Amino acid sequence: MDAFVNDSSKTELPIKNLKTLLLKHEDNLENNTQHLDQVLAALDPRTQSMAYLIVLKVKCGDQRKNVQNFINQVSHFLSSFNGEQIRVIPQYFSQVSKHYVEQLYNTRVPSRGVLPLKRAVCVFPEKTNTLTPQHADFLQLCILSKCYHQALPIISESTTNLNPEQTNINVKDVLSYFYYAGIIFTALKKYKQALEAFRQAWTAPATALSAIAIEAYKKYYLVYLMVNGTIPGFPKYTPTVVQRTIKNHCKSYVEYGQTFTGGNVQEIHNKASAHAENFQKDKNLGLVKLSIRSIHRRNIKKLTQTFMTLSLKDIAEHVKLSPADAETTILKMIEDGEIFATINQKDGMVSFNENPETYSGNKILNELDTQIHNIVTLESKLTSINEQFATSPAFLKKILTNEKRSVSQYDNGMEDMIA
Amino acid sequence: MNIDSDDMMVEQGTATKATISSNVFDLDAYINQYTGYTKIQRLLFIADVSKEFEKVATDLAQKEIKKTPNVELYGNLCTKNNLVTYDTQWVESTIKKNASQIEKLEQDLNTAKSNMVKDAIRVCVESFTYLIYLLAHNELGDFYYHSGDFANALKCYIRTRDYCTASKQVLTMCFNIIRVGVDMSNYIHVINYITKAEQTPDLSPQSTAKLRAAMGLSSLENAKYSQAAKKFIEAPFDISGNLSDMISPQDIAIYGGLCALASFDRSELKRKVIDNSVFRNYLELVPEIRELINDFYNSKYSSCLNYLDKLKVNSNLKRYPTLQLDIHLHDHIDKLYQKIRSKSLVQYFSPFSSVDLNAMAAAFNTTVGALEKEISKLIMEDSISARIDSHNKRLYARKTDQRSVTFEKSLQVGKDFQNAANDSLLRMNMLNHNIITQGPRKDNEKGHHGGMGGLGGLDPFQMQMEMNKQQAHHFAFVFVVIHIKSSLSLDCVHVYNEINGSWITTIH
Repeated sequence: MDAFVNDSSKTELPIKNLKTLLLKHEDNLENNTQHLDQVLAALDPRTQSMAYLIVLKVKCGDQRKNVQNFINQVSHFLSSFNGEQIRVIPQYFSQVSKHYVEQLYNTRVPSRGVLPLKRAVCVFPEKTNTLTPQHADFLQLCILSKCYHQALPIISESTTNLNPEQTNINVKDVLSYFYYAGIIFTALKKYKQALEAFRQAWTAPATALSAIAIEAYKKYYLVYLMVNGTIPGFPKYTPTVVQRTIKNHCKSYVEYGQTFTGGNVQEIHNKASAHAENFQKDKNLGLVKLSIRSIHRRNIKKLTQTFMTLSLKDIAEHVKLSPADAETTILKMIEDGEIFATINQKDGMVSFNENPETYSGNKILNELDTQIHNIVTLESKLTSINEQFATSPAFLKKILTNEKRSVSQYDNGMEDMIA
Repeated sequence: MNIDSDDMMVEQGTATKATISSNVFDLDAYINQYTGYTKIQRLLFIADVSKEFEKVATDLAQKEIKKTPNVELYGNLCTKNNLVTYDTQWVESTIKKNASQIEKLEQDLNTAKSNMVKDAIRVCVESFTYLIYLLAHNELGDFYYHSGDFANALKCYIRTRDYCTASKQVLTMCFNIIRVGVDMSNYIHVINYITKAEQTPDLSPQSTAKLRAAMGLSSLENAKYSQAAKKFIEAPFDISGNLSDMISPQDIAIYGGLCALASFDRSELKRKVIDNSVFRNYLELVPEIRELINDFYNSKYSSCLNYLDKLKVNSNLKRYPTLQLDIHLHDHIDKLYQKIRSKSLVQYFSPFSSVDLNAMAAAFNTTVGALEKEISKLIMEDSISARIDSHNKRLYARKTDQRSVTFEKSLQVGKDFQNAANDSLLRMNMLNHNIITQGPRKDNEKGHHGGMGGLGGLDPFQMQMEMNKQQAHHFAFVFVVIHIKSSLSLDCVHVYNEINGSWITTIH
């Protein structure tokens, strides 16, 4: 035990050597679980992160540990660890963080883990924009504790890098990350972004259908109906297995969608209640109700294109709502910035205005400026990746074999013709 | 454009300029413009559609059929309604006559065939088919065509195709097939043979007129009104009766006029219809259509719509039935009227920035409520760019701010591009590291795949393609940004130049 603590402070060693040195003690630690708390107390998570993590990992396997204590220790560790030391043993880290989330869930205090894991997500990856298994864990905690706003800055950034060597990320983590991100965007009513996140989950490269993809597709389907009023299609890059089979797993949704596009409100209600049990089971009933409400909103929006003023009575008649309901809906839409209108309660008229945005001034210039800079960076990134692939041995080899094949085919063709 | 706006006077009140003779429709005079099978067909159609003329039309049709050997049609007519008494004697004698006639013709054909001289067969077949045509006029009757056996008639006509050598023979063949095609409503054949006939050299004006009319008819039947209008208008003037087995000159004026109204814009209407010296001859035959077109062009919508209503519902024309009774227009009349009405609404509004709906309703003989519905439908279809002020009953033209629209669009395109690029970057990274949803059997290996170090698990070609696609998107965005730049006010431009400096170089 003491030897382990001694070894762990040899941070001057190259990091690989330190790793081998410390891992030798793992069996010893496993056999002495009763002393682990003492060891942890002797370690400083800031400078001896690797050792601390190894002990925590061993504690995960200990059935008799004090759960509260464990949670405190991990929270402490997550708030202060050194990323460099952790990156060499990513599988330990992901195991600990998974176990941590599980324990928080069991003890019903998910909110305690939100801030520590948020730090972990930001510090752990070497490069920014890298997805880690902890991303998914973090979002899961955010959803459980309803701290959506904490997750928003993380999921609003585009995470495109993966580094399995340093983070031990697997496909399940990636899919759950996007699934959770979609849920959070939906909860915050950022439907466009929610759609993108869900789509990432079900269009991810696949040779088999994943349960996460199916759930993501169900939510995607409903949100898409709500936003666009039409049935979503498959993007070109969707894996064939998803294109072919995913709808078989979402029959109630597809049926509901077909009725939905028909536009008959009564029929849509009937269909929704017919499949209510399925929707309830998938916890999507709220989305279904929202999608029904969106029909009226869309109809009102269409009216704004056609009319400048219209009495509440006429609006109610056009969208088939009671005047009072129509008024509250319009009020809500004005608040949400969906339409620009004023209601005159004296004579019951609604006047629709044009979008007051004039696209001039500093704000829009700044916006354009950032957009253009984003694109420039993205473009250079794309170019460099393109070059990297174009000059990679695997790619060149493939081209070479293809060329050879086409040449030999041509030769054969010629021979055939001559013969 | 100046001339247009000078002409564009909004008519006040109702003005009826042309006095229309108040004679009732004279079926006899109308139907005598036609000959052959179309005459019978039109009579039967009128009898079918109109209660008022059922008896007269059936009677005339019965007489017409009796002039031909079409026993089957006669039988049908008799069984369908009881206005006609079945003439057993005529039927029996006709059947007998038909049989001997066909026997004779077939024998002739066989004799010719046995000679096996190419020219002889052609002459024989052609004389056989030509005979069919002649006999129609001579009331001798022809078994295939006039007995209503169009399929066999068509077969015979098409068989002559191989034996046609001179262009005149080709033309005759084409015309025969076109005629059968129109009567059978088989317009695919009609169109094919019209194209064939148009390729023959030295077409006479009469032939051209017939071809154009047939083409117009087939376009009309296929609801391609613009094309139909063009073809009818191009038809050379011909009232010699050469077209009478298909269409009358009045028909050309009416079909062409209505189709043109429904599909041409104002300048086209002026150039191609009103100033067209050839088509004017046709229009002179039906002054109502001429007035209608002029009224439309001069924006006298109330009078124009009045004419239209009269033509459709209660025709006072002596030589023409209401359009509902016309065999070809019947199916299309509502669609054409709808189009003409929408077009006049659009045209009425076009010079205004705001219009009082009450005045507009008066000009179109309708109520404000109905007009509001009509206009809101047109706005939804994007035909009118305007918005209705339902409170003050006014219609305001919509001013689209091109600059804002461009901004909005380019920002959207930019965001879409970034999303798409990030998406595919992530997908590529997943492929590159072999992070893929796989079946349960391979699942165990997944952890070890960790770093494949390079491009182990993916198809580089796919990736290359994806990259190129992304770059195309990028260029689309650049284009839009440049577009914005050109529409920006001057004080913004220098900021752009600054930004440009950095990213234009990146592109090149």
